[in-house]
Amino acid sequence: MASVAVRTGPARKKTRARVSTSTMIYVSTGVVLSLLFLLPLLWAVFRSFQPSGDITAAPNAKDLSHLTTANYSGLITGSIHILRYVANSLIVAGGTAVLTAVLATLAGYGLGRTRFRFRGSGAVFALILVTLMVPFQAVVTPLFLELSFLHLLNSLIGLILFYSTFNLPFGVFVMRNAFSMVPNELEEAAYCDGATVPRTLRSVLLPVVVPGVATTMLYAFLFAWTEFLGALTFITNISKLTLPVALLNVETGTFGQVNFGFLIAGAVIAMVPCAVLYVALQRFYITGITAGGVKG
Amino acid sequence: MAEIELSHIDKLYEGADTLTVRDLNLRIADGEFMVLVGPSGCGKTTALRMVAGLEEITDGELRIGDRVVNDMPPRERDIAFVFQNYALYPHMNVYDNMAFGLKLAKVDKATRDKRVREAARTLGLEEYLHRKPRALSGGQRQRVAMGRAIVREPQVYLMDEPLSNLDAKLRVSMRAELAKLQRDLNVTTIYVTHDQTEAMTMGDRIAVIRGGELQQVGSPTELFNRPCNLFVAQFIGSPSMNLVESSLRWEHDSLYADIAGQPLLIDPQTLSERPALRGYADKPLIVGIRPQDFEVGTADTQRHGCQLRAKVELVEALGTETNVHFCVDAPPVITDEVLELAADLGKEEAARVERRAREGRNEFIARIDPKTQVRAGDTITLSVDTAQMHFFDPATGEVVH
Amino acid sequence: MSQQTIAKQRAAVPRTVGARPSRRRKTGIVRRPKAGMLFVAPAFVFVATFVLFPLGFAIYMSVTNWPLIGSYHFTGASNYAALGKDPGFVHSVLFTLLYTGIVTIPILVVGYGLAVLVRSNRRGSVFLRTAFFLPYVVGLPTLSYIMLLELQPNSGAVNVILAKLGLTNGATAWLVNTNLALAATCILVIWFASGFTMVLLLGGMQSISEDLYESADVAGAKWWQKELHITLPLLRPTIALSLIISIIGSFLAFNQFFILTQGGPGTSTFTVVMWIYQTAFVQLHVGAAAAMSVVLVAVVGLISAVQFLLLRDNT
Repeated sequence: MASVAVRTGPARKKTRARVSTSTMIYVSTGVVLSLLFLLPLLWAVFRSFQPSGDITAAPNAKDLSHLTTANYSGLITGSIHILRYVANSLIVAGGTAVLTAVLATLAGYGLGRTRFRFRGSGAVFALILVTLMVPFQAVVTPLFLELSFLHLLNSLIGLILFYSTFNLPFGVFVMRNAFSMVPNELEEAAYCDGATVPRTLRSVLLPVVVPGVATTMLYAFLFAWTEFLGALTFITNISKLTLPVALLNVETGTFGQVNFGFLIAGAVIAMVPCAVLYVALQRFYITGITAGGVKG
Repeated sequence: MAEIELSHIDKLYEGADTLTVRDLNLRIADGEFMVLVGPSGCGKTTALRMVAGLEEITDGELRIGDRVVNDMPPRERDIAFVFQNYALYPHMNVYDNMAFGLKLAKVDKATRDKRVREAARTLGLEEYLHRKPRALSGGQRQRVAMGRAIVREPQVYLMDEPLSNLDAKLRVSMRAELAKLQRDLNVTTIYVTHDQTEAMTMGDRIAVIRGGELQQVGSPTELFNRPCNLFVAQFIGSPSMNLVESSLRWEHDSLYADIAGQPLLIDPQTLSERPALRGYADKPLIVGIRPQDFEVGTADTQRHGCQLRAKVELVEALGTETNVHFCVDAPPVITDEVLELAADLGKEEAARVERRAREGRNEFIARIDPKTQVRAGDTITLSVDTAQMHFFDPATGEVVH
Repeated sequence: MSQQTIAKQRAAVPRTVGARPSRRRKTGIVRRPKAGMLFVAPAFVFVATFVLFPLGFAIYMSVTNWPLIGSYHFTGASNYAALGKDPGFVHSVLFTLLYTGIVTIPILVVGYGLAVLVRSNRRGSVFLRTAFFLPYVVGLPTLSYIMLLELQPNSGAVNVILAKLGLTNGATAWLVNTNLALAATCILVIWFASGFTMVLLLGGMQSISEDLYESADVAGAKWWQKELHITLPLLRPTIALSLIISIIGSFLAFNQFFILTQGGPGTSTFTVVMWIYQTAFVQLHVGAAAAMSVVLVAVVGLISAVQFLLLRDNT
C-alpha cells in the first residue's frame, strides 16, 4: 500500500507518477477514514448546541442554523445540577490519578532499583501484574459487600480506592520499568555530589522518571473518568454519582422527562476533558500502550 | 588536597566465594596521579568504588587525608567521581549538572556561578552551558563530567575509565588534556583503566592489579624496565614483551641463555644485580626481551652472544617505527598470565595464542628503525641489548633477582 | 620445556584467588531490602484488599447461599450446578460469545488497516493516529450516549442517512430489535476499539527492522509480498496479543449494552457481566452471581495464561 512504498529508501526513487498515486491513495483514505472516526464526535458537539426540540424532530435544513446554549445552561442551572457530577468525576479521576501515581511510584522505586531488591520482590511484582488478568467486572459483587462493610459505599473515596487498585498493575509495571532504566551511576553520581538518599530521589530519580509518572496518571485519570460499572454499582446516592452514570439518569428520565438535548450536551461535557488531555499528552499515552504491548 | 591510604583492603561481594579485592595496600601521595590498571574483572573498579564509598569495604582500613572513611557515605568523603558512562543528569543542562554538587554543598550563588563558568572556560564548554546532555557529543559529555568534578574542588578525583567511551583519536587528545589538567589542579587522583598505554602516558605511578591482588606499584619507567613478574612484564609495554623458554649454561665463566640453539650472553652487570640467576644454571627459565631491545645488525662473529638470526615473517611499517615479526624455534610461553591477558584482548587474540601454542610456534616482534629495509622472507641478524633482558621463574612467574 | 610442564609446575603453587573472577553486577551503595519491601507494601496492600480478597471472597460466596442480608450456609457446588439450569445465564453466555465472534475479526482487520495507513512518518500521519484513537479515549459510555441519540427513529443521524440513501424509510427503531441492536452495538464497538488495536499493532510494526524491507526491495518484492512475508509473520505475537485483549474486552462487555438496550428487548441482549449484575443486585442471588464471577475470572485467566505461554514461546 501507499505507506509501504514510501517507507523504504529504494521505493522513493520510483517514478513521479507512482509516488503521486500512492500519495493520492494515502490522502483520500486518510481523509475518508478520519471523517468516519471523527465526524460522529464533532457532530455530537454540534448537536449539543441544537435546541432539544430540533434534536428529536425530523431533520430540517434550517435547523442547522438554529444554535443555542440552552442545553448547557439547562444542565447547569436546572434540576440536574450537572456541575455536581462534573465535580464528582473530577474529584474521583484526579484522586485516582494522584493515588495511583503515588502508590505506583513508590512500588516502582522499590522494585526497580537493585539496591532495594528483596527476597520475593520478583514474586510480588508478578503477583501485582497477574491481577491485570482479574477483570474488575467479575469481582464487583464481593467488592460491593466489602466496600459496604468498610462503609465505603456511596463514597467518592471508595471509588478512588477501587479505581486506583485496578490501575496499579499497569502503573507499577510502567514505574518499575522507568526506575530500572535509570542507570545506577546516575544515583551514585548524586551521592558523590553530596546528595542524601531522599535528595537523590527528589532531584535526580524523580525528574528522570517523570514521563512514567505522566503515563500512569493519564491512564488512571482517563480510566476513572470513563468508568461506568463500578460507579453504577457502588454509588446509589444520586448526589455522589459520577458523570457517565449521571447521564444514564438523564437517558432513563430519572430526572424527569428524557431530554436528548441534555443528554448530548452531557456527553460532550464528558468527552471534552478526555479529548483535550489525550491530544495534549498523547506521547505519554502511546508509549504506555506500546510498553504494555511489549510485555504481553 | 589529601593523601589516600588503603591498608589491607578486602572486598567480598555478597554471595561470592572469592575475594574480588584481596589485601590491597596502596598509598597515594598528595597531588599524585595514580593509575590502577589491569584486565577487566581484576577488581580495579571495585577498589576505586570502595574509595568513593559506593561499595562497602569488607575488611581493612581506608584513609583520606587524616580521616578513616570506611563507614562514611560518599557525600562526606569530599571526593568527585567521574563515571565511565559520565552519568550526567539527563534532565539538567550543562550548567546545572556542574552546579548541582555546589548547590548541595550550600555554596552561595555567586561563588557557584563563578566556579561553574571558570570550569566551563577551562574545558571549552562555555557555549554549551544551556544544553542538555543529550544534545552534546561524546567528547563534550566527557568534559561536562570532568567539569562536574572540578567545580566541587574536592580533595580527591576518582575516575573510572573516563575515556573508554570515546573514539580512538579523541581518546588520545583527551588523555593529554586530562593529564595536564590534573597537574595544573594538583588534586590527588585515582584513575582506573584497562588500557596500559593510558596508564603509561598519564600516571605518576601505576598499580597493576590482577585477580584482585596488587602485582606491582611504580612509575611507568620502573614498571617497564623492572617488571616484578611475568604478568606485569606482559601487560606493560606495546607490543608486548617477547617471552621464550630457555635454559642457562656456563661457558668459559660466562652464563649464556639458550634461545632456540642460539646463545645470548648474560651481561655480567645483570648477573651481579640478579645473583639468583646463578641458581638457574642448567635449569629452565623464561627469558623476556622487549621489542625495543632489538636492532638489525650484520652477522659479526665479534659480537658472539648478542645476536639472533631469524627469518622475517611479517613487516609492519608504521611510519615512526617498523615492527618485524619473526619466528623463534622454541616453544612459546603459555602461562596463566599470557592466556589471561590474551582473553582480555578478545576472543580472536585468545584463539591466536592457543593456535600458536598448538603449533609450538613462538612469534617474536622486534621494533626497529623504520629506515632499515627489511622484507618478509629475509633472513636477518638481530642484535639484542642483552643488558635489558628479563628473567622469570617458570614455576612462580616471578622475576629472578 | 613444554606448555604442559609449565602448567603442571604452576599448579603446584597455591593460587589464592580464582584465576579470573567474573565481572560482577555493580550494586548501589548499601543494599536496603527492608526499605524495598516498605515501598512496595502500600501497592501490595491495595491489590490484596481490593483484588485478591474479593476474589477469594467470590470463591467463598460461590459455595454458599450468601444473601445480601441474613444468615447463610455452605451449599457446595450447587451454585455452579445451577448455572447450567439458569436460562438467563446460558443465554447471556451464548449472546456474549455471539457478540465476541462478530466483533473480534473486524476490530483486528480495521485496526490493522489503520496501522498500515498511519505507520509511515508521512505528513498527517500523527493527526490520523490521533483521530483514529480518539474514540477509544473518549470512552464507551460517552460513545454509547451519542450512538443512542443518533439511532432514534426519524431524528437520529443513522436513520436519516439511511433514508437519504434510500435504504430504509428512516423510522427504524434499532434498539428494540435484538438483531438490529446487536448490529448497531457491534458497529459502535468497532468504532471504539479499532484505534486501540491500531496502536498496539503500530508498536509491533515499528519494531520491525527497516533493513528487512530494504533487502526485500532489492529483491524486487511488491508491497503485498513484503506485507505477507515480512510484516505478518513478524507481527504474529502482537496480533495474538491484540486479539486476546479484544476478546477479553468483548467477554466483559457491559457499558454499551447497558446504556443502549438495557438488556432488551426482553433479556435478549444481556451479556454475562450484565447478567451477573442483574443476579446480584436485582435478583439478590449473591451466591449464584459469585459462581458466575468465578467462572468468568477462570475463563479470562485461562485465556490470559494461554496467551502468556504462547507469547513466551514465540519470543
